[in-house]
Amino acid sequence: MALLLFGQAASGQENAERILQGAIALHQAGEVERAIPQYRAYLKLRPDNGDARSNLGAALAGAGRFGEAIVQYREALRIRPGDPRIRLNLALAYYKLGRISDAAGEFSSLHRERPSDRQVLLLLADCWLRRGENQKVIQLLEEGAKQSPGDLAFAYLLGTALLRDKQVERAQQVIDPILRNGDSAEARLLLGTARLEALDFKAAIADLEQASRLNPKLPEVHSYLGRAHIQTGDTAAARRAFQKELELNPNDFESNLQLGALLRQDQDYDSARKLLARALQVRPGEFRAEFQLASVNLAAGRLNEARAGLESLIRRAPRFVEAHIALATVYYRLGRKADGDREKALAQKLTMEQRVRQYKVTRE
Amino acid sequence: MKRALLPLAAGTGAAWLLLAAAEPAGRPSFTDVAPRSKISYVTNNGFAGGRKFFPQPMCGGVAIFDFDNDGRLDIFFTNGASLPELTKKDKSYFNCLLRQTGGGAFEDITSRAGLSGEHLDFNFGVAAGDYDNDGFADLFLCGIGRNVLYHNNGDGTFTDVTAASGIGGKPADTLSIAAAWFDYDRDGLQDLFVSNYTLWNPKSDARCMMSDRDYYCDPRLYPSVPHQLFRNLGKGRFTEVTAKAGFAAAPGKGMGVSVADFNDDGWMDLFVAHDTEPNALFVNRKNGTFEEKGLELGVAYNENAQVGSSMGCDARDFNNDGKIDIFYNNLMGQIWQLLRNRGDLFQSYSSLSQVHKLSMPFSGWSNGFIDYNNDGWKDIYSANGDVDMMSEKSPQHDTLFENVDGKSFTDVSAGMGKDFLRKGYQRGSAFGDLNGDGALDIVVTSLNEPPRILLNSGAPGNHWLMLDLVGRKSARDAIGAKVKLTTAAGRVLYNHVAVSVGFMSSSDRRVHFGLGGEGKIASVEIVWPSGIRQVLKGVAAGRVLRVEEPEK
Repeated sequence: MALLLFGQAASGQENAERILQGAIALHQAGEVERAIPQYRAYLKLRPDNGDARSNLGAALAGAGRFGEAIVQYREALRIRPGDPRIRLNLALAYYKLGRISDAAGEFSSLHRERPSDRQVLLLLADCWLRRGENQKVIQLLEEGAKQSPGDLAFAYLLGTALLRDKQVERAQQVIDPILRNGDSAEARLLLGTARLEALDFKAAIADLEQASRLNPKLPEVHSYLGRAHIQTGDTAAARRAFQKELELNPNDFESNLQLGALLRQDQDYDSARKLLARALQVRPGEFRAEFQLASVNLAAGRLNEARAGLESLIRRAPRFVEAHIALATVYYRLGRKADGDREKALAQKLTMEQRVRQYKVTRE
Repeated sequence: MKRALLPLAAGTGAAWLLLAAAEPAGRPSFTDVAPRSKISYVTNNGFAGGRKFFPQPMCGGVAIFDFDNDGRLDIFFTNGASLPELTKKDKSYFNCLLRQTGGGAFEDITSRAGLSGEHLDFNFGVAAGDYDNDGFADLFLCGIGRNVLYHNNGDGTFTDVTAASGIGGKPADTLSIAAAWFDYDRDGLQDLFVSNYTLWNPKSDARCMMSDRDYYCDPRLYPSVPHQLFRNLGKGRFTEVTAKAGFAAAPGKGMGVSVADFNDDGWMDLFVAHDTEPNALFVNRKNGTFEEKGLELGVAYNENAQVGSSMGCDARDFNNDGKIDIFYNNLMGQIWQLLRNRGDLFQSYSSLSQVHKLSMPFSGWSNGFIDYNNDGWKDIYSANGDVDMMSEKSPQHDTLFENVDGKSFTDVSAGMGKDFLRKGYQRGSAFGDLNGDGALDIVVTSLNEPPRILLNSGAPGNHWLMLDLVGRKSARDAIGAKVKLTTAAGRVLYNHVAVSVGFMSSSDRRVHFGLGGEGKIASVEIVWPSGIRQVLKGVAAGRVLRVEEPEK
């Protein structure tokens, strides 16, 4: 009986190991969908094996099932607290899922522990760049860029952050090495974004199109191209560009936001709403995305959802004129005339204040 | 994630092939016939280089109307003044009346008619309308100084009756840009709405400069002002009802104004395009007052809750669904707005209809929905040219966006002929069939240039009908009367009487229908401003049909 029992136990152990080896072999062969059930079968037998759970997370991530991967990574971390490889994988899964804030949190903590890890540093910088935290990117990368002047990845990320922060001269110094490297997609992208900033939309489109020809998979190239097309009124071209960006990078904030806004104009409210929700997943609470989502709800006649969104937005951004205007519209359509009048008056007051600040003239 | 910074292969992007769209056979074009007549009028805004004054970009209102009832449409132009003196110090600033002698030829009879305006200052818009129901169209002129009402004496002359009528008053320094005749209280007498812009005089003029060069200041430097409404009391007398009617509480920077029954309740409403301010939709409350509901109804701002530089406007049913839509243009880089009337509110249709994309390079001023090719779909004409002369993109040609089945628009300007494509700073425009061929012609002014009288060559094979509606219980001009035309094949088309069209301008009040290839009309249904319905059967196409309002 004991033998049997032992035999049974030994047989169970061998069986479990066999299942795990099979899962790893499939995983290594790239057959992640077949590896996943094998890992699950093993974990039914050995639920506390942190490595196997981490492997299952990796297989799920490989299959694009990032939400499930995150569950497994978190469970793996419960078993092996603080394991840096699992934390890196968890951060990457957050990143891929568009939970950029969560990803940034993990990368940030990893960076504090391993400040010399270049991959973590660049990923953290990229997260902040996506969240529009340009100043933080600049602070993070400036020292590294000085120490590694030939590192084009540093130069690219830092140059982009400086451009977005409107520090054009400093950006120029940082991106010079990229431009000197000859005609590259990165150089064209940077030139294109600079021209976009300078409102030279035709030249921006030419550079960005060249960048996309040189490297069609360069992150954000199609996103910027879309933004340039919007400025020329070519919304069809803009739509195509944003769609292309999102095929490559479903978490690109601007593409989700801008395409969402375009689809609202096209009265495709369901699609617009999905994209804007994604944008808000990448940058939770971002004002423009929240405003666009509320505008979709307003246009689609979902007045109470629009009202709730705008009221919440205005609580956090009380000087957002367009939000007051949209909220006034919602109140009027809900029959709340007094509230509509109040919001309308607020919008007018804020507009006047803006104008007073904006216009200074020479009078004879 | 990894940012690629790899050596890059040669571009593999697809090459773009630009294919020229073939012009459909029979598409009309326009020819400027102004040079065939002796016309001395040149739009003169008083700019002679150097100092620029704020009102100068707005000059050259146009009216097309038959002032002598000879069946031929005539033309009136407003003109500017010398600045800062603010006088029409010589003939170059005089207003102008052109009498048509036939076939698109004109003679200048300004002086004989008493319309030169030598005692006036800088004039902007003009509104033609028969305010006393005597069968002769009168003229109201807007300006910097006093506004003027000219009574048509019926003998080829006009008399300034402003003082006696009680219509001209306005707060000091108010710039009145445009005006619209309409019967807001359905008493059978045409009232007058005046679209006011701001407060300005030469001494208060803000000077804006860049590198020692003047440029026209942003309108946001100036305050908004209330518009005005004058109620027609009959016997040539008016009383101002601005405050009583609710306009004092809704100021703006008024540009174009469109009159129409937007909510189909039988009472005339007003859309006013506001430059750099939210547009206004004044809904008639049927009790002598109006409620401004632009925000609620979706016309005040663009889709992103932002204002534009709204200029001229027109209100017509562009998709023949029985509801009156709105169009207004903007400066380049902004979106010209095509607002589709859903019944309960308006929704921007600019993006879906391609108007967004087509309009981006242009700064539009006057405009109008005109069915230029008589296919039954109203197209969008715009008179273009930037505010100031700042770059090579500033002088612009007019545009014509052809309506494709009421769903989208395509830019056909390039095929409209060299006269149509003349670049400049176009401002006022008006529409009417000047030579009686059933195709709508266009008269356009351009800053400091002679006007163009653009005759439409017509679309062979397409039929048309023009209705000259004469009110009896309604005011004689029947502004706002709605017409539903059903062809023999069952196609339904809509239009209405509208005179205040575009910017600073006044178009022929007759109602035009293009019928496409169909020459047979099943019925014409008219809803008069009085509410009386009239149905006509057996109407033949290809003519101007005069219809008098029945007793009931």
